[in-house]
Amino acid sequence: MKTTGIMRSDKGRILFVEDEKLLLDMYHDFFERNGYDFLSTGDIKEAMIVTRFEKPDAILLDIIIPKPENTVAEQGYEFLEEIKKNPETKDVPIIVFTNLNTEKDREKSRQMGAAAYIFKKDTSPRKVLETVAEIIEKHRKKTK
Amino acid sequence: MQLSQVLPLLSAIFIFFLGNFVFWGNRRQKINIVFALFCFGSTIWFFGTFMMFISGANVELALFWDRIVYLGVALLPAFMYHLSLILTHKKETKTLYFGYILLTLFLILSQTHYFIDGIYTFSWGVHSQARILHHFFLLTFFVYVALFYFNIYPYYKQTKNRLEKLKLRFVLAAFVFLTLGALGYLPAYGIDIYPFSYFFGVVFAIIFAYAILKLRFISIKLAVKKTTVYVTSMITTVSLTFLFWWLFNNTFAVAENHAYIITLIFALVLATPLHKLIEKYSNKYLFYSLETYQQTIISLANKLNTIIDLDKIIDLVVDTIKATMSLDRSGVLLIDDDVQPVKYHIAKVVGFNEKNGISLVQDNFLTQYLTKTQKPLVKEEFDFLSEQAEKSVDKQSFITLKDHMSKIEASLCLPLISQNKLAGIIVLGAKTSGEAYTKEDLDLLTVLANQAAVAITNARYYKETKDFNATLQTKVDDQTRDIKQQSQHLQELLDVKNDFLRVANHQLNTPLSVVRNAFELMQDKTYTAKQAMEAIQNGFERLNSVIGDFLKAYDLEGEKMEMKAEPVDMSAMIERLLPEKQKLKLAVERNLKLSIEKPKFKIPLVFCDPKQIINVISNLLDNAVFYTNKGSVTVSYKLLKSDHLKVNIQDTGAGITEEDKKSMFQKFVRGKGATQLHPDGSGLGLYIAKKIVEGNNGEINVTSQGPNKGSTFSFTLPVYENQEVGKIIPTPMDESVVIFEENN
Repeated sequence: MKTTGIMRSDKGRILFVEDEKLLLDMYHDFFERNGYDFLSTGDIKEAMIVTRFEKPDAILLDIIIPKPENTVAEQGYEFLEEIKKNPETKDVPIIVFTNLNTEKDREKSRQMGAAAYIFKKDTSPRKVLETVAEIIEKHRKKTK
Repeated sequence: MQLSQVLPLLSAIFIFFLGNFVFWGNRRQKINIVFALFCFGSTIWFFGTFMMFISGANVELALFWDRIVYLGVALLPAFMYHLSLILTHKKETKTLYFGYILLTLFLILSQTHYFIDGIYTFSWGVHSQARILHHFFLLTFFVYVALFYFNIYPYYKQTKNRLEKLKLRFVLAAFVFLTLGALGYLPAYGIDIYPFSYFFGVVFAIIFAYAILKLRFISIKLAVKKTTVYVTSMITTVSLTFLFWWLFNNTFAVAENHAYIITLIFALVLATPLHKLIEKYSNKYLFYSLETYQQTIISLANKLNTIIDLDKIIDLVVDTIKATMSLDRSGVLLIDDDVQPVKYHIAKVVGFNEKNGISLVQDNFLTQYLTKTQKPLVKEEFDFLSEQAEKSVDKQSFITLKDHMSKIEASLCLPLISQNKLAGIIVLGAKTSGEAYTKEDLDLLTVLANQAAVAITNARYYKETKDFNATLQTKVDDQTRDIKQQSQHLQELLDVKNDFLRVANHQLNTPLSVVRNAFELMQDKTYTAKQAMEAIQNGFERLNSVIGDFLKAYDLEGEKMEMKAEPVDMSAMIERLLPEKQKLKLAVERNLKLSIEKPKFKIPLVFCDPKQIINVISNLLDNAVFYTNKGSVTVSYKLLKSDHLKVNIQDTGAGITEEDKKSMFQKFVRGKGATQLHPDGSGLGLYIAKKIVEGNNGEINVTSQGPNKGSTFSFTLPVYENQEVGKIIPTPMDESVVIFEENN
């Protein structure tokens, strides 16, 4: 897990579940520079724990996270299911952030309760940040 | 009246009835006529004797009756001899005619005083006295009686026919008794012998009646049998009624007209059950079904029309005929449909030896004959048929057929004719009663056979249709299954394709997204150009590697890849490669220790394509590093007996489950852990490695002690024959630029 040194930001606390280290580093830098509290991990179990105890305002979730025996394991969906099942965590908005680009995956994510779906390749950190901000805004309005 | 006087009367009555029974039983048979004549002669003999015995002191009367006796007795030896000829299947001889003439002469002479005259008086009655001609008669008498025995006995000894032997045994027994009746001549010579011999007429009649009824010794029509049963039951009823009447009158003091009525009721009540009882026992012990079997057969024929199960029909036919006609054997042979030449199979046989059954129809003769005549073939007719046959071939065939039938002890072949075609044969053995098949039997069986043939043909059509339907169903099922399998296979292929596309998409998009995001961040000024460059470079390298892998995998598809093999120093290659891998980011981060375990033997040169093999080793080492969070990666060597060098790359990483081992080296497989992809590459690394190693005549595999216990990837390569030649290809060459030296 990579955490931020700063205190919890007003803008929000983001958990990035991602195994791709380069991307992870880039987003870490970018979100922190933009005033977000940014946590990240490539391990699903760790991500679960972080979600429960650090209470992120939004989660950016990669879908294909390899396991030793299956390097295209779709652990992201497992994580999504777990989060939505747990009453403690089910309200955390999840933004699926993936390089899968099929209608099926979009539909699946929607049905599983994801707040948004972003196709990694065709996006930019800025766009992601805007989306995250929007989702957090919506969520905060709703819970008020 | 004394017993001695009653005995000849009893004999007379018995033999009279026997004669009538035989004569009216079948007047057309020579044996019946001759036997009946013999019986009538004997009747006269016994009756005359009886009258003589009771004549008392009246000499004239006694003589009169004794002369009547000789009217009966005189021709008896001739009849006996005649019977013996018939029984032994011989033609009438001159001796027979001579006998008839001579004995007729004696018959006439017996009425003279030179034959008998005067009487002897014995304690039991009177007897005439023999005179001169009587001696000659007696001589002739015994000569012909002797001829009878000389004719019958050798034949009896020699015949192999069980039934005929049995018949002749009865004949001999009966006649021996009757011949003892000749002891009755002794008193004619003044010898006082008690005339018990006259009782032998009764014995004779009983033996014969039994033999006739039981062994079908002489053909007796059914009507006569039935009449006999009626007469017997009538006589019994009347006798019992009189007995009842007598007992009733003597026991109770009842008015006579009341006694009449009660007796009448008794008689009426008694009549029917008694008749049934007698009929039942006659059927059981004497006739074997007077009519019941015929009814059974007729009802069987009707029943057959309602059955469509071939086996049931055959069972019913075989069992019913055998049981109701009381046969020793029965069976059905069926002709296989539409097979040329005609081939039979045994549908069912009871009593026959199965192996022999088919011998009957070994040659085509029986088939042809039955098809032509469409009539039952009785074994007894063979001699006749053989004589009648015009062609000598046919004669021989009849004889052969008879032999076959004798061998399997079949007596009757009934053709099963349906639509003018022979469908098969019903083969029957003999009746256990020994009776021959009568014309009525044959008519009845012919009707049955026709019905059975129709039923069998229908059943066969039905079965054919059913089988055909079943075959069709099976075929439809098969094809449906094939189609299902094919569709399933296609679906699987489609799934694999979709999987591949999904993976390819993801794996190509990931480095692209790294590149793109790096650019964006640089634009955004979050990243400096230097920072972005690093990521961009990395992204391009990975993109390059993924595309290369995909293309190579498709290249390796199908035929073995052509390898440019040469002697390679494997240890040198790995020694150069290892420090590079040690510098990998992950290896440094995790503080992994990459090392080579030096073997005790000198590592030999191997024969392979070095440019390909170095990719394999590089790939395996990358994998090992990626999946090992802490610990080490160790390379070791082993020499195999098969002259191969084995290279093991052992890590202390995540390990692999048994299930995953199997699919590890496959390209894309459905299911859990199916698509094995390198995290930084295309996921085709192991698949490509396997193809390359196999292309270099080696093997690749993986072992693991289980999850989190590390795993060992091993590959083998053939040892080069000539170890003196050395060539080392330490690293893959950069092939992006080739300078064609000869063109400069």
